[in-house]
Amino acid sequence: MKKAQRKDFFREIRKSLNRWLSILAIVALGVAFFSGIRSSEPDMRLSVDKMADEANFMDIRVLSTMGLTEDDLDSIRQVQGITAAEGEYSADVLSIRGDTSLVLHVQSLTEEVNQITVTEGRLPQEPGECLIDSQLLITGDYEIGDQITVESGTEDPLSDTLARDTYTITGVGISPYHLNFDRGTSAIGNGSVDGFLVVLPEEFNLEVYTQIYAAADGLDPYITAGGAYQDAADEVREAVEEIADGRCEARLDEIKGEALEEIDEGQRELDEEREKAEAELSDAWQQILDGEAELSDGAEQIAENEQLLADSEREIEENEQTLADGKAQLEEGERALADGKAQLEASEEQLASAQAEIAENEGLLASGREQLEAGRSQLEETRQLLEETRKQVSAGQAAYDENAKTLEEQSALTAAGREALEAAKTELAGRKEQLEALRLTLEEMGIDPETVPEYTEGRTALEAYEQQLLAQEEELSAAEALLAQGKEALSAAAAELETGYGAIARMEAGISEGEAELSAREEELSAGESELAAAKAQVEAGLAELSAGKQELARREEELSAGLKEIEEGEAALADARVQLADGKVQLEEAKAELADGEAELADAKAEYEEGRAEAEAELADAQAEIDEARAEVDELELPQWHVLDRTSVQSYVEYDGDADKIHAIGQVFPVVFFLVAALVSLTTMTRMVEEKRTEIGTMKALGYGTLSIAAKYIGYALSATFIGSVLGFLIGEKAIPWVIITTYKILYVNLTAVEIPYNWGYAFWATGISILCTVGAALAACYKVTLSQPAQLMRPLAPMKGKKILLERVRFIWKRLSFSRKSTLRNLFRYKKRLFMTVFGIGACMALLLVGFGLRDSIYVVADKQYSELWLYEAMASLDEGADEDGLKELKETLEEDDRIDESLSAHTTSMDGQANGVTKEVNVLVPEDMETFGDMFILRSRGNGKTYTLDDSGAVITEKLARMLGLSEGDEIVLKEGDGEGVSVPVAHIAENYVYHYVYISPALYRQAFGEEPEYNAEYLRLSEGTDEKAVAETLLGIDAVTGITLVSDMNQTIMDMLGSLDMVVWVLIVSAGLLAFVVLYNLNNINITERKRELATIKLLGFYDIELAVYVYRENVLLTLIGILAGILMGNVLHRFVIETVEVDMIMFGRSIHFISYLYGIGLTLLFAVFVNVTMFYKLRRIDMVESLKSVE
Amino acid sequence: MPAFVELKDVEKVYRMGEVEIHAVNDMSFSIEKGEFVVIVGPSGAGKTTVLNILGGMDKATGGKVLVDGVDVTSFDRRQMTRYRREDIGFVFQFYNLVQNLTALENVELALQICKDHLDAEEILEEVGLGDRMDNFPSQLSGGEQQRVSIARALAKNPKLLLCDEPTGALDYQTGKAILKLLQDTCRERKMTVIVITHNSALMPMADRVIRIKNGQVSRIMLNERPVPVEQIEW
Repeated sequence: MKKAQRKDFFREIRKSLNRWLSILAIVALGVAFFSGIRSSEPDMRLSVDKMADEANFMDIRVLSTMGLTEDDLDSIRQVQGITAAEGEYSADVLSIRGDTSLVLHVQSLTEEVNQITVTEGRLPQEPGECLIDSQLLITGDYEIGDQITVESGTEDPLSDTLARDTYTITGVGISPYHLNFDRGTSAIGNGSVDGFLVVLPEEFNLEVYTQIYAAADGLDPYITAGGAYQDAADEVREAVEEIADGRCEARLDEIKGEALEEIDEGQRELDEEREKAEAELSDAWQQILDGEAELSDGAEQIAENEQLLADSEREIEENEQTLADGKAQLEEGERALADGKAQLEASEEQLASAQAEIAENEGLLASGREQLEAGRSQLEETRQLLEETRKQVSAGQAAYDENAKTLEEQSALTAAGREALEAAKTELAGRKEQLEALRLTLEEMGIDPETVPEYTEGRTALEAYEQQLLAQEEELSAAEALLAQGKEALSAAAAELETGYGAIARMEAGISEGEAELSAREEELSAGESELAAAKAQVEAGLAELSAGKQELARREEELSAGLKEIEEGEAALADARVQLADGKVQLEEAKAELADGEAELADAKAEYEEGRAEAEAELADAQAEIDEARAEVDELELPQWHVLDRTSVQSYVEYDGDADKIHAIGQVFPVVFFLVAALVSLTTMTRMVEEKRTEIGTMKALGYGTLSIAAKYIGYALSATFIGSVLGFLIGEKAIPWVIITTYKILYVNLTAVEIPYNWGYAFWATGISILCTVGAALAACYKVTLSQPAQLMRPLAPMKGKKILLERVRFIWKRLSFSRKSTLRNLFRYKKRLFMTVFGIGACMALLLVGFGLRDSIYVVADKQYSELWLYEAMASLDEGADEDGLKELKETLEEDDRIDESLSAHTTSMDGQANGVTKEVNVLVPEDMETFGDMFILRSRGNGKTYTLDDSGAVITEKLARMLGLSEGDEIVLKEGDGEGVSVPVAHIAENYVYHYVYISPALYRQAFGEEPEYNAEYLRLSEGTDEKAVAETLLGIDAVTGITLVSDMNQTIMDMLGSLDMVVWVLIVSAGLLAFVVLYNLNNINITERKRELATIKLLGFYDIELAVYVYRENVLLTLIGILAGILMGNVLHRFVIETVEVDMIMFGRSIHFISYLYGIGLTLLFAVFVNVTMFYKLRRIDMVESLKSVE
Repeated sequence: MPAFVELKDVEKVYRMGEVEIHAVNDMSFSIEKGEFVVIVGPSGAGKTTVLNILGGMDKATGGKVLVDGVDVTSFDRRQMTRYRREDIGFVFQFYNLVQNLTALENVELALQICKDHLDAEEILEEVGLGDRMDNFPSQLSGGEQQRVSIARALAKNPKLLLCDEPTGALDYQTGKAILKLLQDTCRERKMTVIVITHNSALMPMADRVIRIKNGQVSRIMLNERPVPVEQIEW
C-alpha cells in the first residue's frame, strides 16, 4: 500500500468512524454472544470437574445388599484402574433441637476419596468430635464448639449403629458429593436428610461398610459427565462388576456359616428344655388325678344321705297334708252348723212378723166394711135432693112460659099504636101544607091570613091536633119501655132455668159414680178376707218345721268337738319330726361345702397345669419356629448383590449435567441467530460503502491502480473493524457470559466452589474466522463487481435505482384505495429489497430471541403450573413397605382415616416397567388405583388438545402424552408392558392424557387382573391433605408408621421446578438484553444506510417544504411497516426456535409445555417496538440535520 | 411601490474555522412581479448562495430580503419551511424527481403539503406530458424529467419560480425547449421566474439580467424587448 493510500485509509476510517465502529460493535456483539454462550456449557462442566478433582471425588461407588467387608475393600483396591478405595460407614439419625427435629446423615471420615472441604474449624481427630455440613449452619443454627446430640429414628437403639450420642462440633465443611441443597431422602423423620455429620470411623458399631468409594486412575483429564469420561468410567465400573460375583458368593458363605452354627446351638438347647418341661408336667398330672378320685368318693356319700333326708322330708310333708285336710273338713262342719243356726233364727222371726201382719189386716177389713155402709146412706140422701130440685125447675118453667106469652101480646099492641101514630103524623103534615099553601095564596092576594079566618081556624085546629099527637106519642114510648123491661126479666129467668137443669144433671152423674165405687169396695173387701185366711194356714205349717230343725242342730255340735280334739294330737307329732329333719339337713350342707372346696382346689390345679403346659408348649414351639425360620432364612439367603455406581448416580451431578445441556442447547441456537444477523448487517454495510465509493474507485482505476490495490482499502477497512471487534467480542464474551451463567447457577448449586472460565480458543477462532469471512468477503465481492467496470463508467453517476410498479398495483381496487403516501411507502419498501430483507430479519431475530426467552420460561413453568396444580391434585405420596404385615397396614389405614389433616387417601399399586411399542422401549410407571372415584379426585386425565377429560375404565389403559409420542402410539393401539426379563403383556391404549413429568400407564384393577393374571398389590398411598396443613408434620407422622418407607411431597417437586426457573430467569435477561442490543444495532445501521442512500431524495422533499416531522413520518412509515413485518416474521421464527430449543433441552422423562403464552407474545412485541421506537427517535436528529443544499449537488 | 423581490445589502459569510468566506457581499437588487429574470455569473460568483437565500434554504448573515413585502431574513426554521412550501417553486439542474414515484405522483408529492395548488394532471398536460403521466422518471428522457420538475414547481402555484441551471444536464435542443416552457409560463401565467445560469447566451431572453461577480452584483440590465428563446443560439 502506498503512502497516500495508507493516509487515505486512515482518513477514511476517521471520516466514517461511525460506520467503522458500528461494524466493530456488531461483530463484537455477535462474536461475544456466540463464543460466550457456547463456552458456557464446557465452562460449567469444567467448573464442577475442577471441584470434583480437587476433592478427589469418587468415580465409583459400590453398595451391597449385605454390606461390604474389609475383604471386599481389598479386592476392589486390586481392580485394574482403581487408585484409591475407601469404605464408609453411615447411618441416618435424628437430632432434636427445641421444636425442630433434623435428620442427619452420619458418615465416617474418608481420607483419600470424597475429601471434605473444611470451610471453618477442622476435621474430627478424636472420638466424640464431628464436622458438620455447612448447610446445617443455616437450618440447624449450630456453631463450632456446640454439642450435638443424636438419637435413633427407628425402634432399634442408637447403640446398634453408633457408639455415642453426643458429639462436639469441631468444624464445618462441604462434601463434593453434594452440589446443591438436596441431601437425599431418608426413611426416618420427615423423610428428607437435612445435612451430614462426619465422624471418625471408630464411632460406628457396624460390622460392615455401608458403601465403598473408589477413585479411578486416568479419569482426571476428562471432564466429568463428558462422553469420554463416561466411557473411561464405564470401563472401570465393568472391571469392578467383574469381581462382584466372586465377592458376593464369599460373603454369602460367610454369613451362612455363621448363621447355621448359631442355629444348631439353639436347637440343642431347645431339645433339653423340652425334655425337662415334659417330666415336670407329668408329675403334676398324677397329683391331680389322685385328688380327683378322693373327691368323687365324698360326693357319693353325700348323695346317699341326701336321698335319706329327702325321703323323711317327703313323709312329714304327707302327714302334714292329711292333718291339714282334716282341719279343713272340721272347719267346714263348723261353718255349716253356724249357717243352720242362723237359718233357724231367721225362720222364727219371719213367722212372728207374719202373725202380726195377719192381725193388722183383720182390723183393716172391719173398718172397710163400716166405711162402705156410710157411703150407701149418703148416696140415698143425694137421691132425695135430686127429686126436689126437679120439681122446682119444672115450676119455674111454667111461670116463664106464661110471662113470655103476655109480653108477646103487649109488644103487638105497642106496635099497632106506633103505626096509628105515624099515620096521624102524616095527616098532620098534609094539613100543615094545606094551611101553608093557603097562607101563601092569601099573601099573594095580599090578604093578611090572620085576617082570614079560615086560615086562623085551620091553624088552631091543626095546633090542637098536633098536641094530641104529642101526647099519644108519649104514652106509646112509656109502653115500649115497659115492654123492654119485661123482656129483660124474661131472659134472666131463662138463665136461671138453665142452671137448674145443669145442677140436676150433675147430681145424677154423682149418684151413679158413688154407686160404682161402692160396689168396687165391696169386692175388694171380700178378696182381702180370703187372702188372710190362707196366710193363717201357712204360718201354722212354718212353726212345725222350725222345731224339727232345732233338734238336728244340737246333734251336729256334738260331732264337731270330737274331731277337733283328734287334730290337735296329730299336730304335736309332726312338730317333733320336723326338728329332726332340720338337724339332718345342716349336717348334709356341711358335707357338701367340704366337697365343693375340694373340687375348686382340683380345678385350680388343673387350670394351672393346663396353663403351664400351654406355656411350655408355646415357648417351645416359638423357639422351634424361630429356629426353623432362621434356618429357612439362611436357606433362602440370596446371593448378595453389588450395585456398582458412578458419578451419574449422584442426583445433583445429574441435575447439573442437565442444566449444562440446557445451556448447550441454547448455545446451539441463539448465538447462531445473533451471529448471522451481525454478519449480514456488516456485509450490507460493506457493500454499501464500496458502492458509495464508486467514483473514487473509478478515479483510482483511471490513475492506474490495480484492482487488488484498490480493494485493499476496503478489505482493510472491513478486516480492521471485524478483527478488532471479534477479538474484543470473544475476550469479553468468553469471560463475562460464562461467568454470569455459572454464577447464576451457583445460586442453585451452592457447593460449587470453582468458577472455571478459560478461553475456548476454538470458539474464538471460529467466530472470528466467520466474521472476517463475511465482511471481508462482502468487501471483496463488492470491489470485484465495481472494478470490473470501466473507469469512465465508474466516474459517471450510477443510474438511480429505477422506480417500478409493484405487484400490488395490479390489484387496482386495493391500490386505488391507498392514500398517496401509503403507495409511496409500499413502493419504497419493495424498491430497497435488501433493506426490507435485512430489517425484517433483524427485527424478526430480535422478536424471536425475546419470544424464545419468555417462551422457555412459559414452557418450564407449565410443568409446575399444570402438573402440580392441575393434573396431580394430591399433596403427598407414601411408599409402603412391600413386606408390611397386617397390623402395620391396619395402623396405617387407621391413621389415614383418623388424622383429620388427611382429607382423602388412595391406595395404589405402582411399579416400574418397560413399555414397548414399535420397537421402542421406555421405562414407565404403572399405576393401578384401588378406587376409581378417589383416583378421579387426585389425577386429572385429559387431552391437552381439546381439554376433554377421560375416566379410567376397564376398556384400556390411559398412557401419558410424551410416552405415546415416543412410542408412536395412538388411541386404540396396544402397548406391551414388561417387568424385568419376563414375558410382555399387551394392554390396549384407551386414551392419551396430558402429562409433563415421567411416563405413566394408568390401569384399572380389573384390567390389571385380566392382563397380568394377578391381584394388584397396593404399595403406595396417595394423599390429599386439608388446606393449610403442615405437610412436613404429616410426613413425619406417617414415617413413624412401620409400614411407610418414604414420603414424596408434591411441593418439593414443585420447588425443584421453581429453582430451575429461578436460574433460567437470568438466562432470559441475558436474552432480552442481547435482543435489545441486536435490535438497536441492526435498526441503527439499516436506518443509517437508508438515510444516506436517500439523502438526495430526502433533501429534495425537505426543500419542497416538508416540515421535519412530515419528513420523519415519510421515512418512519416505512420503518413502522418493516418493524411490523419483522415482528410477524419473528413470531414465526420464534415459534420454530422455541420448539427446537424445548425439544433439545427436554429430557426423556419430562415434557415441557409446547406453547408460548399470549402474554409472552405481548412482552416480546412490546420490547421489540420499544427498541424500534428508540432507534427511530435517535434517527430523527439525523433527519433534521439533512442539508437541503445536497439536492442541488450533482449526482455523485 | 416597492419591488416584488428586493435584496438589500445582503451578505453571507461562511465560517470555516478561522477563515471567513464572504460568499455574497452587499448584494442589492430588485425584481418586479411577472419578470423573467436571468441571474448570470461564473462559477463561484455566489449565484447559488443567492438562490439558497431566495429559496429559503439558507439564511443571509446580513441585509434584508423582501419577497412580496415580507422580510424573509427574519424567518425562523418553521416559517422558512412554510415559505418554501407556499411561496417557492424549485426547478433543479438534475430534476431531483423521486425515482420511485411516477410523473403524476411526483407532482402530487409536492401538492399534498400545499393548500392553494393547481390540478396536477392539468399542469402535466400543460407542460406537454399528458400521455406520460404514469411513467417513472427512469422511463422519461432528461427533458421530460425536467418538464415534470417544472410541473411540480408550478402546480404549487408559487410566487416565485426558482430555476437552478435548468438546462445544465440537457442537450441543446431539449434545453431550448425547456427554456421556452419557462418563458411561456412567465408570459402566460404572469409568473415571476428567476433562472440562474452561467450561460450568458441566455441573457437576451430575460426581462432583467443580473450579472454577478465575486459575490457582488456587477451589472443589472433591463431588456426592453426580450428575444424569444427560439431565436437565441449558443
